[in-house]
Amino acid sequence: MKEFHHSMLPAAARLVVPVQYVFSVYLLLRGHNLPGGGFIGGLVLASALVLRAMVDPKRVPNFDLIRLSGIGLLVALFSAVLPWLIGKTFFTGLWGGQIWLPAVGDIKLGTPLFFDIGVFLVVTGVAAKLLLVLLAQTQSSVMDRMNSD
Amino acid sequence: MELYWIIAAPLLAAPLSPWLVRAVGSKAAGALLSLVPFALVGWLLAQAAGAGPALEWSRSWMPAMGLEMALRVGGFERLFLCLVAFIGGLVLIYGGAYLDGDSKVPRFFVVVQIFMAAMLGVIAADDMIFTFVFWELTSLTSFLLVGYKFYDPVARKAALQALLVTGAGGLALLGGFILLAQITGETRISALAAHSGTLAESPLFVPALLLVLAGVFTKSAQVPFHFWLPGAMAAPTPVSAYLHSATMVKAGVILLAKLSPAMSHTELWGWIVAPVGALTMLTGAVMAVLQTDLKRLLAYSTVSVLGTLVMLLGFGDAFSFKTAMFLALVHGFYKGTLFMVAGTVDHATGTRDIHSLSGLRQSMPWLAFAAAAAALSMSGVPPTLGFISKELLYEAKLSIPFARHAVTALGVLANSLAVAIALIVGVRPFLGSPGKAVVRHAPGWGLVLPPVLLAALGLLLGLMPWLLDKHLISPAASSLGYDPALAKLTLWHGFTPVLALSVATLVAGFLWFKMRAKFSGAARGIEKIHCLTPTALYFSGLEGILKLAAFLTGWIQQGQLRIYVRVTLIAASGLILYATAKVYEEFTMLSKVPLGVFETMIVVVMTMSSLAAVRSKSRLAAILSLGGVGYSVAFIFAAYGAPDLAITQLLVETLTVVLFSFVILKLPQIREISRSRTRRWDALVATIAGLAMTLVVWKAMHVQLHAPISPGLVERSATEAYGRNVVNVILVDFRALDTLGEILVLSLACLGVTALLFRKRKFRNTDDDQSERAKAREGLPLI
Repeated sequence: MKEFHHSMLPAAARLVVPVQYVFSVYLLLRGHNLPGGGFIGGLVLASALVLRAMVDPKRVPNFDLIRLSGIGLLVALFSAVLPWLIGKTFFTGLWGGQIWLPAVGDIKLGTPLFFDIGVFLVVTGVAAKLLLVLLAQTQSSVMDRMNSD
Repeated sequence: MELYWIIAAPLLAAPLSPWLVRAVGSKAAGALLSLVPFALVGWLLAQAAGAGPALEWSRSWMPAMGLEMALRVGGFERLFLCLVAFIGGLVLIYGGAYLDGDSKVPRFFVVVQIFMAAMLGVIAADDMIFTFVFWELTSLTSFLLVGYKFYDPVARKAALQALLVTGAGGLALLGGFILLAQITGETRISALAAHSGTLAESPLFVPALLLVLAGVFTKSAQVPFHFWLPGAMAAPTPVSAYLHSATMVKAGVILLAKLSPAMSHTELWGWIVAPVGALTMLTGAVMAVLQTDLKRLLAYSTVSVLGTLVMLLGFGDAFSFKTAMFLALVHGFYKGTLFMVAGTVDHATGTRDIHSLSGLRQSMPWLAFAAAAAALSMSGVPPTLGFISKELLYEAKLSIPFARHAVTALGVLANSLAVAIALIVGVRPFLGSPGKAVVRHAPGWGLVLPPVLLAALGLLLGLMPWLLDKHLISPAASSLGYDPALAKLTLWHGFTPVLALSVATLVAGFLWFKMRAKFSGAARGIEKIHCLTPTALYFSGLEGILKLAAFLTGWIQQGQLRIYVRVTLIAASGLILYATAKVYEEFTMLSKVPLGVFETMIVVVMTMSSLAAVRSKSRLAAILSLGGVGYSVAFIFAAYGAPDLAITQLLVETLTVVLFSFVILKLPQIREISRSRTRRWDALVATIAGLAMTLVVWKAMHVQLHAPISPGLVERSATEAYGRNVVNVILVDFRALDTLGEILVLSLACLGVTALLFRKRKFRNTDDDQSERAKAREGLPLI
């Protein structure tokens, strides 16, 4: 497991990963007005999860990532169907109140934001799942190679 | 209560059932869940006895195409809704007991209830496309239920066969519906009858009718598509009792009946529908007597009854129609009972082979009662419902305008075989001295009560047929415009030729039963010939398609990434060059975008990175250099004012490099990435692709074919979607449907990749809970 046990990477990861968590949500929430959004935020969160697992193979997420993307799909679908359930056209944006969040500023609440959260979850789940599956296989095959040497 | 609850109620109950099973066990869960359909039956019966106008509910679905989610419940729909919901309730009780202890019980409950909702939808839906949606949902749920034991290859094959046959028919039906809507301009089935004249004269009528009939015949297992139904007996018995005898296979008959007011007056209808039905009636009856497995026997006899129903509808007169309604109801009663009896016998003794079952009446007296009552009804012995339906059947056959004697003779033959089947299934296993098969564990109340209830209700109603006539059957006939007064449901019709036929049928049936040992040789012969026909055609067709697919895949998919990339690039460049060459508008070679120092530096870095990637001797270095190219592209996006694109590009590029490095660590070390000969080819392909891309970008900048849509989007972004980032607004609001499609594809791709990476795990034929669950979680069931 030499390849994965440097001293710099864990040290950096310890600092970067929590920042990535916060930053991904920040990107998600500011997306409607400033660069960012669910897709970008999801990629940041996925890279945080992968980085954590690269440093320590045991620290993989303890929930099913495929289920996470399934939940994301349902959230997105729900925000599409909700207007239809109350008699408007499919995908009509429904807007509610406005809240203020530190750093992000004013956020208008509505189904598009909800939809973006769905995108966020799907992208996180899919990107992290693919990379983590490959990572696990690489780690085991590198272990095999080292054992056979 | 709003009408949509008849579909919504089971759909809402479905997701609750896993919790219910966990909380109170599967037997009690089945009993509790059955309250929903029983309540539906109660509500339906409480509605005015069909004399009043039909109940309607509708909601706009796709107004641009004139589609509605329209439900309509008249006397006809009410009859079948009651049948489906009532037997559904019994099957939920029965299934909970039958599958008690199986780890997949929650799945059974969920899928059966979704099926029930879909089936109620097929009956109640009035809009054709809405009907089609439910129609397909019944096919899908049937697939899941036939493949319930997904670790068993036989069950998987049978599930796929049922899905392919009924699915192909479903597509044909969709085509037929669209043609009907085109001809008449109506999407409501109940409105078609008013256009029956226009329909018959239209040149599109023949294809429309043929397509609709293809859907009906595959679903209702008519010759030559009947073979999937006996195969579907791989399903657990509660499923067979429900889907493959009482309800789903009748969906075709139901649709045929609903369409008959609009179409049955045409000659083509009579010439196709009635003969196909008659042929199916006979084929099913003959094949049934030759079977030794209880369930296959019942399946073929169901095919026979479905044929009879289709034939009656093919006659197209009011008398036959009412007879068909009555027969459908009676068949639901006795066949549902017999299927559940067969299942209980199988559950208690472990076998369904008719040769080893006898003398079971001592150990299971109540079951013997249910079986006997159902068998009497099936044989048509007075005073059962079956007797009345058979009398009506013969009267209907004797009153058709031509070939009445031949058709009646066929009917007597098929019905006498049905008598023999009834004796074999309902009587033989219970009489005589106990045989080889012994009752290993006595069946609980959940396995005995539903068949006994159904049989007792059948007996009771047989004594009071006028109740059925007045409240269910006559409204059913009159709601579709057929005069119900012609056929009377009474036990005693007087000494008529029909009574003589009934007696002859019973005698002949008894003789068939006694002589059944003699034609077991003939049975094998017929079985062999039979295997050469539709089933074999299906399998050779399926094999042919798979071979063609394998050939095409081997031809196109060489398995070398290099070749894929080459083919893709050359094809794409060729198409781009062809398309751009067609745009002749003037454009200059002068750039429209400013080029500053920063941009120039990025281009230099990008060029150097690509040279490094090409010249690199190690894979890792090549990947990192390519990452440099990607980062440079991101900077160009940033430089020209597309921050969202730039961030996305940076993130995707980073994750791609990480992904590639994971893969590369797995690969063995190599000396050189490719030979110089292939490199020359690659260089050529790369140059062509680069030129094509440059050309298309250049032309896009200079040639304007349409007014650009971006100013409008930017304008509306803040006012209508409350967002200042127009890229994000497009993604989650203006074009959110595209995004929804994309995240769906992303999720599916992820499932596919995960399944591929885990494909080393093979299915084993095991009942082990853990591994089954693990397999199911990997997303591999039924592949």
